[in-house]
Amino acid sequence: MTRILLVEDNELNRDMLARRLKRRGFDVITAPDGEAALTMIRQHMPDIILMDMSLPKMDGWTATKHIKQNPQTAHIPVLALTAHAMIGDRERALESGCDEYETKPVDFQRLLQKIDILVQKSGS
Amino acid sequence: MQDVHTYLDALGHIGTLLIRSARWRDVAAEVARCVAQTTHAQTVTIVLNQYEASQAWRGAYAAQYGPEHAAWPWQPPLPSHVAKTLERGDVWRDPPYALVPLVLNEKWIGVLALVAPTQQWFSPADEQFAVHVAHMLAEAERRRRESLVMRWDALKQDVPDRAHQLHMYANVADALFLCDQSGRIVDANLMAQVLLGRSIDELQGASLTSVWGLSSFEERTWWQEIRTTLQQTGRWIRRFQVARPDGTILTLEATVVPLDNSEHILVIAEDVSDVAQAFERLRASENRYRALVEYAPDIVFAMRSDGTLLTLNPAFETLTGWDRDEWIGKNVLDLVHEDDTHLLAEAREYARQRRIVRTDVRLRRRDGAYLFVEITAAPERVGDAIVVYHGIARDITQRIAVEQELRSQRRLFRNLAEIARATSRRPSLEATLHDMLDVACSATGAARGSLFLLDRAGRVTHSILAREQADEEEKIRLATRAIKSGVAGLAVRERQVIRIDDIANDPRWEKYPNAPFVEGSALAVPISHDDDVLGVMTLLAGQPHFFSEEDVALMSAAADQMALAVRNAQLYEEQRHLIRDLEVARDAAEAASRAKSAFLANISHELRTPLTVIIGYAEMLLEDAQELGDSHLIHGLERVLGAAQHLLHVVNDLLNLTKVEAGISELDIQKVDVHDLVESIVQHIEPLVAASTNRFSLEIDESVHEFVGDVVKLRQILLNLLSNAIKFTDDGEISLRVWGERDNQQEMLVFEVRDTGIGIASEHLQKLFDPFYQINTERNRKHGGTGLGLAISQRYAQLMGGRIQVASVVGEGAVFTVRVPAVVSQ
Repeated sequence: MTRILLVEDNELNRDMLARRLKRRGFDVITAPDGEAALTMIRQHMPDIILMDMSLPKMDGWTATKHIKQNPQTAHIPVLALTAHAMIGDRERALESGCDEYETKPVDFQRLLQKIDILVQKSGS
Repeated sequence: MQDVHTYLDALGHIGTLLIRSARWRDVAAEVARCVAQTTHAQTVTIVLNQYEASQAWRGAYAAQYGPEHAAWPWQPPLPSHVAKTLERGDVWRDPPYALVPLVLNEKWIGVLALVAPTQQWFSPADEQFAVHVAHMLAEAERRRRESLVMRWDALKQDVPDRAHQLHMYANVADALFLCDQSGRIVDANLMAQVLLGRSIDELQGASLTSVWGLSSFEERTWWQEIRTTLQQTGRWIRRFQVARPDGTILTLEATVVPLDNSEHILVIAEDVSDVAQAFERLRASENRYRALVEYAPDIVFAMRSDGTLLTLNPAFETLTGWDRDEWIGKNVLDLVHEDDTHLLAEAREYARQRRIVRTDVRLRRRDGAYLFVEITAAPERVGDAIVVYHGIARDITQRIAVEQELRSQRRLFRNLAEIARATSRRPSLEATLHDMLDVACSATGAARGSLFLLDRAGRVTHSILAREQADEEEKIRLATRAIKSGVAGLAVRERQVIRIDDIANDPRWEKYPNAPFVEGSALAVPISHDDDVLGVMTLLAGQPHFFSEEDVALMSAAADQMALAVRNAQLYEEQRHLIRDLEVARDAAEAASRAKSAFLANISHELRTPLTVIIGYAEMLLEDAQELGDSHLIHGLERVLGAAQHLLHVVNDLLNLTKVEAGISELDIQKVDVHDLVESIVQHIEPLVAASTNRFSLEIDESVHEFVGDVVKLRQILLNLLSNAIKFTDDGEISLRVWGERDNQQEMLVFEVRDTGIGIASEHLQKLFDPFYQINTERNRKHGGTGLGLAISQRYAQLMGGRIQVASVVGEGAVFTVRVPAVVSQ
């Protein structure tokens, strides 16, 4: 079963997305901030990470850099989720090492497609 | 290298010397001196009369200036390679020696020899000058010889072929010898006896050349030469020295001419040495001199060394207005301007070492005016003491006036330039005016200066003082008082320069108890621009009659410059205010724009987060409801979702518009096949068309291929226009046509969206692309929409260098035409 780590500080959003993903048959684990995310990754080795960018303690960009710099976790695809639709957000996310980018509120169907593609790419 | 005038002056002087009938040696010495002074040569030697080239450096006929020419690298005769160069007429250069040939009738007759200053060589101009002097010397010699030949030719006609008659020529100034073909003296005149110091008995029968003191070898060669020359040219000339029995040495110039119809030859010898002057010649020259003196336009005078005037010529009376008799016997110092008497003393001191002295002084005329004269005087000595001065005084009033005019003009220009420089030097008006006032004071020599600037009401705004200390308050008080009742105010009111030559005796001068001067002069110059008096400059001096006409002219010009500086400063100040206001406005606008963008970015973030939650949960619940098959719940959740998605749409549109307006929207340039792009758009709108009662048609020109630009934005534009068309058309036709065209050398893509819908009234067409502009209709309310779609579309098109145009007839439909460059540049 594909394990998804959902990093999101907004509890309602976290809960909603987690539930919808679980319904689709994913193994979903969650973290409320960047630091917790890194711990979860070490402990559970997810297949893909959905990462909100504006996070307390450690933001998504920093957390992604850590993930991509660690050889043990570098292969895990990171899909950035952000409410910032301003110019540069996409570039900034990709620069910090994110593999994909999705603007909130997420188009759930498109999100599912992207997850599929990323997981297949990293698995092959 | 000298100024060209130095050379011209020297040449002029030498030319004058050479036409004088003075003694050759004096003339040559003065020429040598002049050449040495002009070229800075150490030594200048003039050797003339080298009838035979190799005889250069025979001293008797040389004039020299500077140290002895022992320094010459060779003794006479000249080395042949040097002589050859000179014979060709070329200058011979062997630093430090330069030899310039004197050439007459293509023959080399003398040398102008120069020794260059230590460690230096002559400039080309110096050399040119020397060549010119050599030419003048040769020319003078030619003239002299011509006059001699004329005299001799006359003699030749007169002298009969009879020896005993030659005594008739006793009074002739030249020595005459009648010789036979072998050179023996047949007869000689009295002057011949006097010159050689021998009686006629001693001379008759003697060989002429032996009488002259030549060796037997010279005798033979000379006669040989004489005979040859006489056959060729009929005349033989040579200078040589003769020792008299009393031991004195004479320089003679002998000319040998054959007598017509006779076997005898006539030898004419002229004493050209400076030791003995023939009496007759002296008298003749004295006569000439006297005539010259009488008619000369210059004052010719003789005076004793103490300054007592001995002789004066008529020119003295013409030039000074005095009678000659009034001044003969009186001292010249009483005639000379008191400020110039020291010049005479200096000249007298100078005369101890010099042959000629020169000085410029002012002579008092009878009418009280002064006459500028240039005095040239030669001292006459007895032993070492100077007894008498002979001299000339030339009227140079005209020259001095011209020179003074030139000098004062030059000073005027210099000062004006200085003032102009002061206007541009300093950053502040105050500092600039201070500089200008300082320049004005030093240019005129004023002791005090002030400069007041006035506003339009005549109030003092700036008070600047030169050479005076005061605090601001005191300065303004002083200025206000000066403007109210002083000469400064007078200049301002009368709008003209006020010059007070004597403040003690001028009613215009207001006396203050603490005025700096009790007597003196004042000059007040208004500073005006066009018709406005901007201020006034006042200069004060402690002496009466201090400021000249020239000062007035200069200060008027200075005041003009000051006016310009003031006007410039005012304009600059106005402009700076204007720019500052503009900058403030611009900064405020920019800040507002930044704040707006940040606010909207934040708001959109704050709106999106809860919307994410609402849409997310609604979708989730909808899925649950669909599983349960609860149609009531499904209907309600679809409404929630619809409203939330509309809200999200509005937020997104707002954000996009904001980005374009804030100038932070960037183009994401990609390449796409236009056919593919259009196909995907058609796919996207097909469900909408199907849901409506309209028909859709597509027409795309085959020639259209690629679009390089922001594909996402173009897609958004077309979707927006097509969905609008569907929205506002019932049972009609909607078409999309695509083609390419050229516009100003640019390939453009044209997308035309045409419908047969309700159309748009002309009053709305203009504002159709304004943000939030919506036509208030039933249909619009039904369809909703943010009112931002067209505004964003138009801005996107413009961002890519294109535009959207619209045409419509109410009730018949509308046509939106999008034109974008086929290749969009960033």
